[in-house]
Amino acid sequence: MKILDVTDLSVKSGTGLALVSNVSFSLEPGARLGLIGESGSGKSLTALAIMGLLPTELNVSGSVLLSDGKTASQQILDAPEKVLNQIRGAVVSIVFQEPLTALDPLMKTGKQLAEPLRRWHGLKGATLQAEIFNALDEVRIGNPKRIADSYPYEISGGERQRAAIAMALACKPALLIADEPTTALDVTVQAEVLALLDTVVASRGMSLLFISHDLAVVSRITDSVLVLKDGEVVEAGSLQNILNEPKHPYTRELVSSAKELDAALTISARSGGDHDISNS
Amino acid sequence: MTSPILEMRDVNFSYCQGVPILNQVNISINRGENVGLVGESGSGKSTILRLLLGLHRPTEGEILYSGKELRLSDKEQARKFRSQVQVVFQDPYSSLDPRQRIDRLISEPLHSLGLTKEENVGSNRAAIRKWADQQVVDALISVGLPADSARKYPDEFSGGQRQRIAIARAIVCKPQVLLADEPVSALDVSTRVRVIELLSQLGQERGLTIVMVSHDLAVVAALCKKSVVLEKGIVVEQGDTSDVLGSPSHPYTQRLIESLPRLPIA
Amino acid sequence: MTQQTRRYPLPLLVGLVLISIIFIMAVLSIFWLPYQLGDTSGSRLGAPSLHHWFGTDKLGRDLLSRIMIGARIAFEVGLLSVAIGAFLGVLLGLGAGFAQRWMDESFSALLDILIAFPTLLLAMLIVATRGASLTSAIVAIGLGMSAIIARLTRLLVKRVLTQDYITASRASGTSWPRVIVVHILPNIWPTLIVIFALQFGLAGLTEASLSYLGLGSPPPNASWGSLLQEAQATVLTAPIAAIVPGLLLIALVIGMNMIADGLREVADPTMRRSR
Repeated sequence: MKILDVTDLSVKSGTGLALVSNVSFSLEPGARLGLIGESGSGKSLTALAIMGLLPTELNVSGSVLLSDGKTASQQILDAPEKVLNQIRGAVVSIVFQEPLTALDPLMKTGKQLAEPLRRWHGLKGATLQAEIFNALDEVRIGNPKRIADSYPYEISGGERQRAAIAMALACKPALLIADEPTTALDVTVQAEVLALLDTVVASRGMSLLFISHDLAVVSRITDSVLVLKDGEVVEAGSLQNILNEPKHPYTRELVSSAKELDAALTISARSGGDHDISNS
Repeated sequence: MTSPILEMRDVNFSYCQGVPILNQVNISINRGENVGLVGESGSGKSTILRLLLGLHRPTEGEILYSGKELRLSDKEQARKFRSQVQVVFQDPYSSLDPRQRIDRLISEPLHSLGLTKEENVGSNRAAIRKWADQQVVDALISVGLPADSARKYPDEFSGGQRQRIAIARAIVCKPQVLLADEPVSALDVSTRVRVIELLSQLGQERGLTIVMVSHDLAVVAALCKKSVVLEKGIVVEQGDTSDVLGSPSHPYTQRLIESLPRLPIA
Repeated sequence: MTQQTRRYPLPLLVGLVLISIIFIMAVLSIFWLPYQLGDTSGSRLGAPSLHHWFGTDKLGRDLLSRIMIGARIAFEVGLLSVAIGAFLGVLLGLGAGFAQRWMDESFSALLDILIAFPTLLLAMLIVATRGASLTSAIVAIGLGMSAIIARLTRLLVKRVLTQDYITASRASGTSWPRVIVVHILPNIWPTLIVIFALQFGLAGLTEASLSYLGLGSPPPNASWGSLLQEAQATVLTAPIAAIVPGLLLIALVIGMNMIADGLREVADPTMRRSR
């Protein structure tokens, strides 16, 4: 039974402008998909549509079916808020790009993490505290007590993002959507958070929808990709196929840019070893 | 060996509050050798750029331009410096005045730096305008934009095009050095490579030395012969980019390189 | 590419109509009045008639003429007080926007005190020292307004200063005075214009309040506020004398509010298009 089944998803603005057109894809339990697109490609709107979080002034059509793998699929589009509230967090969760805005700046981190735990698992008091620390441990946060007692602006970007991931995982969803989760992070932190996502998603057997503009980052965490341009899927397939034989002109452009930059690193590094002052 | 065109010697820097941002920074920039300033957030790389641009004075140490200490209180030196050292910023949406037309925007350095007088265009208003317009058109074409862009406004252009306009403004007074603060980070991936190629091409055509701040080592590798690696305001490693990338000596540099997301080998 | 939609918002049009009516009255009053200011030839509290379109007041003066003069006063007050408020306010705001942190914080505190000080009280103080007159009213209103405008200007200037194009301009060798004229003022102007329009209407209202309290221009000068005050006693027998100035005051404030709203829509797209 598929965890996520998106068919002909289309999103139009209030004035009729097509923002997402006929996007279709699906995810089996434990499967991962990378959604590659640049700004304006509709990737974030797709994620919001799956969560049932699209702004009301947008018109959406098509079908988005979500399931936790055990019970029947639920149609997300046009579902009543009551139903969606049961699904968000428990079946599907999302991690956004900028943790500073995704977390409430006026609430301590621990308290924010406590909310979903309290609501879903009815935990209180000492059990709740313990679970909070467990959750923070799972995302490999260095000092869980310090983080739990701090406000979001008092902790580093990497720590914030880990806390955000902990919150997303708190209710044990079947699907995790990550929308550019590492784009705002430093390179070294990015590597760590990607490794964390990789481990956590694998250990829980979750499905992952990973959205990014960076082919190299996506390649770290998943093997199949969907390429979006201007709201449409222009190409889909395994990462190897896309990298070696891109068919659509846009994909070719993306791949060649990514390869050119990646190559610059290799060439530079190679000529470095021999102290060869060659032209790069 | 000719002296470096820009130099930082034993520079310490902190803003008024006193938190030290830079500690004993020594950097030399030689003509014709692009330099990449690499580091993560809090490394002080953007601050170095601002110091090199003369926007702040170092708390200790000195900044040298063409071998002489940079004193922008000296009007004449300031004028010469500013016409020879220009800057391109990271955010293409904040670096162009939304209410100014492109031709006015690009020609601003020409007027502010009195280059119209230097070129002996004459004191006739019309002649000055004509000369300035020609410089603007030349600059626009050099960055790959059509001449009629001059009569448009910034909001009519995409991020990548805006960055080209910013570059056009920076090169219009034919500087020797171009300081670039993460010039491609805010651009789409496919546009990034094209702007880097443009910078590289301009560098070669015009003998421009580019000093680029970037958190992205790949971009630095593509453009800069030399690299300076910064961690929390300290230079941990510097030298030829190929050496820094190929055989990094400092553990931080090694960590940085290991963390780079790479495409899988085919 | 952006869409250049030349649509005039309805509120803007309605506002323009309302204000135009008042404006025409005001301008006309300079050249022609049905009856001169001191003319008390009419019957006391006469009903509207062919000779006196809005009737007469308790001293026999033609109401229409007095109302037209009131329109002129409303405009005078609006324009002059906004001129004072804008000039002082923008200047102070610019200074504050550039000030070093400690200076800026003390300045903000000072502005906060000034803003908290009710304009009416300020007006009373000035009137107490200089006597009730239109000038006193205008000065008081202008001063009160300048504090609000200074605060806003300071905020706008600070925001613009964070933009890279200011740094780029400085790196191009442009002097600060030129940066202010070429880059800063044009970018804060659209927002300021909207505030000026709003304040124009409010100034008229404040002047009316002052006149109502007897602190504005003394009779026979006929600001709408004093007309209202005079009509108070006889509101049941001669309602027109109270209704018309009241309605016109409302029209003034609403009209300027709508213009301000419309201006925001027209001015903003230029700024918003940049993103």
